[in-house]
Amino acid sequence: MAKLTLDGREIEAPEGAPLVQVIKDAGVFISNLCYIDDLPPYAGCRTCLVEIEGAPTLQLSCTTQIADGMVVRTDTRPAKDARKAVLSLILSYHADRCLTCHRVVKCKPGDTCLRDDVVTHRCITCSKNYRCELQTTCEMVEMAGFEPWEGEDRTYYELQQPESDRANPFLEFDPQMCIICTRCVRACDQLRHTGAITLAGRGFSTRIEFGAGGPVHDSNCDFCGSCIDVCPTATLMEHPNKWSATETERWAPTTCTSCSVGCSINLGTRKGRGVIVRPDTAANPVSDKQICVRGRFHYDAVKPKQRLSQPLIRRNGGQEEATWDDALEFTAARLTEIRERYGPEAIGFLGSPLATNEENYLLQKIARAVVGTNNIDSTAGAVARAAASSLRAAFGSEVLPADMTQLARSKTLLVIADDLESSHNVACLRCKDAVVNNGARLIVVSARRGEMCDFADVWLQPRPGEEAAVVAALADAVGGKAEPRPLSPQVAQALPAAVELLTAARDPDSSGSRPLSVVQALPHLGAQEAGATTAAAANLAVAALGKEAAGSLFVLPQEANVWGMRDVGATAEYLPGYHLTGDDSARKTLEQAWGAPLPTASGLTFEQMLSDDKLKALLILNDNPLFFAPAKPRISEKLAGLEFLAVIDSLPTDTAQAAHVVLPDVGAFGKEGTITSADRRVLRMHAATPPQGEAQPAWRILGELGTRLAQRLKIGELRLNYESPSEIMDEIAQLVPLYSQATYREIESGAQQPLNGLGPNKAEIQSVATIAAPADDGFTLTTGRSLYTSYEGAALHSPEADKLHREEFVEIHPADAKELGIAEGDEVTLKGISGELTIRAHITESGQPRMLYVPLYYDGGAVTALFEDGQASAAVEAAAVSG
Amino acid sequence: MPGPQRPLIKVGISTCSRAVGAQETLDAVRKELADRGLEADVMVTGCWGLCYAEPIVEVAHPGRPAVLYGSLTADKVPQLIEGALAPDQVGVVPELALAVVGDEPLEGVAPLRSMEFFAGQERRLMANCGVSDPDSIDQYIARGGYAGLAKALGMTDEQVIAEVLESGLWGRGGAAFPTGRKWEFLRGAKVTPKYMICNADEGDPGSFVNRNLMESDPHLIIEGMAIGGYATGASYGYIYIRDEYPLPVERTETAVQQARERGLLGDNVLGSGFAFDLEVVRGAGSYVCGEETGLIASIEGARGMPKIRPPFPAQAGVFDKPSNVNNVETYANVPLILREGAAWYASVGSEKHKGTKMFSLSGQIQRVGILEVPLGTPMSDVVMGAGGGPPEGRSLKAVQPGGPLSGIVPASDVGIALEPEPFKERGMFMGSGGLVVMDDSSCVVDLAIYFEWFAEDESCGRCTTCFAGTRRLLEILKRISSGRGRSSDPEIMRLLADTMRYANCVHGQAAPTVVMTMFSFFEEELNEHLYNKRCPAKVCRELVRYEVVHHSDKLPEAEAICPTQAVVRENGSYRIDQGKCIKCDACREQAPYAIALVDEFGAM
Repeated sequence: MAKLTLDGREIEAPEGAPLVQVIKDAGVFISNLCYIDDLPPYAGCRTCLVEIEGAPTLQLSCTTQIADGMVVRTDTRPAKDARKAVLSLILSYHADRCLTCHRVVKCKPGDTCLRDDVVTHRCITCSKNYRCELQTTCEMVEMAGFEPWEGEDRTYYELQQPESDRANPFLEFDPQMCIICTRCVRACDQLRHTGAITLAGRGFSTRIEFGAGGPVHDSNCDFCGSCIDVCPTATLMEHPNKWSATETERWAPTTCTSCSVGCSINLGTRKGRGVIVRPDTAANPVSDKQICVRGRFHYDAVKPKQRLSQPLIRRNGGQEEATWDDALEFTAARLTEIRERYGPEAIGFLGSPLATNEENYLLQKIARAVVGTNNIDSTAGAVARAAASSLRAAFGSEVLPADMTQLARSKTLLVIADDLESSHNVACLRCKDAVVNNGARLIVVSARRGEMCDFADVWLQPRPGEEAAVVAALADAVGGKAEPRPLSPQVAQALPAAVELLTAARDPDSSGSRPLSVVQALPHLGAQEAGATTAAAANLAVAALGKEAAGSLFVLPQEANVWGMRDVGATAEYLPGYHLTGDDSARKTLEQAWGAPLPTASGLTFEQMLSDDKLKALLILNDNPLFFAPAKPRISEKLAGLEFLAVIDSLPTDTAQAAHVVLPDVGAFGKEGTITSADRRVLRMHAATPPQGEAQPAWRILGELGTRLAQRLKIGELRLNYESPSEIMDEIAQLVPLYSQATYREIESGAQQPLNGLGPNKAEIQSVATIAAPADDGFTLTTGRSLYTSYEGAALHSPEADKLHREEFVEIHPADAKELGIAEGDEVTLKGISGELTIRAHITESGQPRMLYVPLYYDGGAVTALFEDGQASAAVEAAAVSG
Repeated sequence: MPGPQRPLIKVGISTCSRAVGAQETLDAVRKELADRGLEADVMVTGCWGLCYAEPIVEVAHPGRPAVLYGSLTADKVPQLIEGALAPDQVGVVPELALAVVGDEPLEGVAPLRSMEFFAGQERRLMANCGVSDPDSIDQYIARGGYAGLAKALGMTDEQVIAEVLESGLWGRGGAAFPTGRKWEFLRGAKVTPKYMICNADEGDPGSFVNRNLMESDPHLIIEGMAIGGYATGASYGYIYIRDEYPLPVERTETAVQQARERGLLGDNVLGSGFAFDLEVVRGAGSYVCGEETGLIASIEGARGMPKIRPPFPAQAGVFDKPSNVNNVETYANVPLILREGAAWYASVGSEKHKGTKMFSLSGQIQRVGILEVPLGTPMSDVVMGAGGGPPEGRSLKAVQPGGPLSGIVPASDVGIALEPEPFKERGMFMGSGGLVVMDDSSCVVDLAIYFEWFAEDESCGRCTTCFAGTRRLLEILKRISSGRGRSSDPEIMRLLADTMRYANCVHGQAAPTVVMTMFSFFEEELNEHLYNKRCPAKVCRELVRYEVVHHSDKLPEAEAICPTQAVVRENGSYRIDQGKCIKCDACREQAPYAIALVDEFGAM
């Protein structure tokens, strides 16, 4: 550490740090319009001039590195005057509508301009007004009294200004507001590794361009909005709600539930509606300053009025609005009736990875302690269960100590994911960080080409379904086993290069980098294959790293809270805290804690619940089988055959529409609670928006419903009513060691939780049952999460779900398209065993011949109709729609 | 070296001579020789620097001094061959001859030394220019080439640097930083590989000394870089040549290839175990790529923008490896220092500055060309003496010494010595050696507009102070030039100039120099524009108008040619309709006696 004097104050700072950062951290204002924290200085704006003792002239604080004994003054007259003079140059080519208006002192935010004849440009014509860094800087630097070119015509008004680009639904680009600070260029390149923004032209014509200078959506921009965060003016703005966001009233820290990375975000609201999202750097350190297009824009995919606002009961051939009392009584009565007639095993419960830990916990508590059944699962259960069981076989535990902040420090990376960029965008970003900033070597196992492949040293492209075999072959080779596995030729060819990199990963390294990280993104469908791939990935980690393996294996579920569900017992086989339902002593402890007897019979998984007709009633919390579950026609039929179906959801999903009772929940941004990320961080969600109509948060609905059920079923003293989710978490903390420090009083949102004995206790190789690749003659259909479509929008079949319309296609390889006589945009019919789908074709080489890909979220999960139970891919027939 | 056994004809082929038909001259010489069946050797050479007299052909008979013939276009070739080579002739054609390459007159032709252009010259760097074939490594070696490198390889790296330090050589690109010191920085860098970079992005309008060196003697630069590489531990070099210089690229690439073939570049230079190789990189056409860090960025394939310092190139230059950037002319000095010794090198020059410097003369001057004089030579000797001063009937107004950012020296100061200090004292830079001469037909405000426009247009776009500052200056200057100047303008321009000094690189820092020199030396002329709305040189178009001042027979022709019918005939006499006139000057060309350019007050 070096000692320096800043404006007469003695402070300490790391030697060599940029002075501007130190000044900012010390809480002293210094104008700087181009510096980005933690990136090398650009030194373009030249406004951060300070006086440094011994230096002949004023120095830029961004390019000055801290040295011991430095004496810095920011507040001298020459420094202040120089900063003003430089800033006045910036203002010469920027609109001054908000700065020079003589009425500006009289106006309040949101005032409509009275517009007298002197006021030609109005501050209210800029959507960054009142939240503009340039504006704030001008105020702080006291530009008001500094008018060196009094009576000057500003260059800005002398020139024809370029048109702004408002053609895409996410990002507005208004070049006339640009001050060429190039923060966006550097954020896109150095923080996101996307490089969609460039500096073009020269001299005064220097300008920012997306891609080759066309519209933003023609560039490779993927709308993460990182550039918006760093833009000091109104040049780059969110398109939705940008005017409303000018008057943001409240900021609520919460968590994005679009995937299992669990990015921390701040949601700004106005009049109870979300209007803006910014990354929340105070919580999850994995996301830190970065989120993706989903986190930033999907808050707005569904309008409040599209949400359920009233309980609904199926009556007179339709769902009719009902009071809460009626709906809850009706539900409790029906469940009681069915339990009495068929026994507790006839009732099933579906929790959801989209619900909070508290809600899932409460749901399983009702199932077990009130209804008396272990029939609790979700549509995401099968894949998670298969992966978890492979992890248990390898490490004796499914709770791994892996920490995603370490991804960026990896030296070697193996990414097993169909398209990590789309499914887990920020995790993918951290892998790219490792490649770009840490020189990591990257091996990608992916059937389709994703952006990750551009960063990869080796891309192994398996046939769909061949992933497990490929990873197993890698594990064998690294472990020194020479078990020949038949592999596709393109994989076999690239395999030795991958093996070489993985073997080299074990070499000792003094840089402090992590030797190897294995990242597996779990698919939505295909439990068996997912489990095999996880087993193979675990084998590889063990073969390469031995006892350290568990800390280097990252198994990322698709949906937000999959691991949390299992942690709190919302799964058939485990009580909260990973005690098997058959474990008598654990059950007794829980019975004591809850004060109610618990069932001994093992529970049904989701697939088992609907495999025969024994199940008569189903209570679904936030899950959506008609969206996510394969074999949709059969599921639909089964749900219709139930005597009673109750759904707790905030949206009228397909599943909710089939229900006898719908209990309106609030959306993710209206909830208090926690979710658990892929690397076991417990993340707080704070209610940012008020409930729509009479909707209630699910924990309250469950509490009320559970209480009524308990009364009817005459269960004794059992706590089901809580004042807040905080009290539920207190109870979870008692039962699940992993959450012992997650009570709302103690929780540090975003911190990894101590494993408290739940962690790995061995590192073993297991045998991997690889599945034979599908026969080559037919088409193999795969699906997965793509980047742009919002779940909530898709669940409503909203045409707005994919605002860019980038995912409303079946991807077909050019060779197949030629054979089928299909041109880009033609309609194609895909026929599976139990369903068919007509969709437009997108001809691309991102896949492989004989492989088709339809995004899972297309049209409310329409593609799941073509899949059979347990399949990761489906054999389909494809044909052009004639005419 | 024994003299030629047959007559030898040398034709200088360089960019400037090609522009006036040297290639055709060469073809004609060959054809004429063949047609006449005459025996003679024809050789292509570089350029003497006599740009005003191109194409130049030299004819040498065995045992006699060679004679230079100037302005020898293809049509004069038969006369030359007839006179100089036909068996019954004396071998000299005095009416075409420029000078004798020797000390005594020959057949009435004066020796080279007696020419004003050559009088004050000390041709060391240019010793081979126009004399030897740039594409022949043998000729270079025969004239002492690569002896410096051989000598250096026999010394330690410290000794080489000491020799360069002792010579007093400093960077010729404009910064005037001691070359030996710069090399010491690179030698001290721990990281390898290290790079030697030659800055041949000669972008200053009016500067063409580097081009001449590369076209006429490319091996000199390669040898200098190899010596630099040996002294500093650099193993690779880049010669960054601007893309507008196709011939230097061609000749330098040929030279590099030849040097490789002879083992003068490669894994084992001259068997010494020292490894050094280099390549020619073609510049992407931006003025700021001539700034050393901008050049480094350009070599890396990035946008040509000067980088932030620190780190300095000697710490992290091209590809973040230690690098040294010197100008073409700087490198060219090095082989001579090594070959002849520092003492010899320092034998010419002024008290403080040793050695010679090349200058290119252009603009409103009688003799455009390239010459080499000892440092400290009065600028008047070069401009008025060698260059002959402005065209007849004109008087000298100013000299711009080294590029558009260097400022302008007023005629009253033309006698200052050509070394850095006198320029620095006047708030200017000596620059890289492009002397652009302006006569009294130039207007200082108009010049400032051009130079600020240039600075603005070539700004890389990083620093606000640069791209917006130059723009503001330009706007204010244009306003003054159009008669709308305000009394507050000088103050604003001074404030702008002060602010612009906070730019990252020298381009932005030096951009206001021309305006500041205008304040220092041409304030009267500026004030004429500002307060009296008058352009004394009658250049600023909005401050002048055309008037019919006499009657003349040519006026109908002026009327006919006017594209806007602004020359109006009324009652037999003519007048100019000022509302229609677009000041194209066409009428005055037709009727120069009758129509005149007058200022606001009607004064001619």
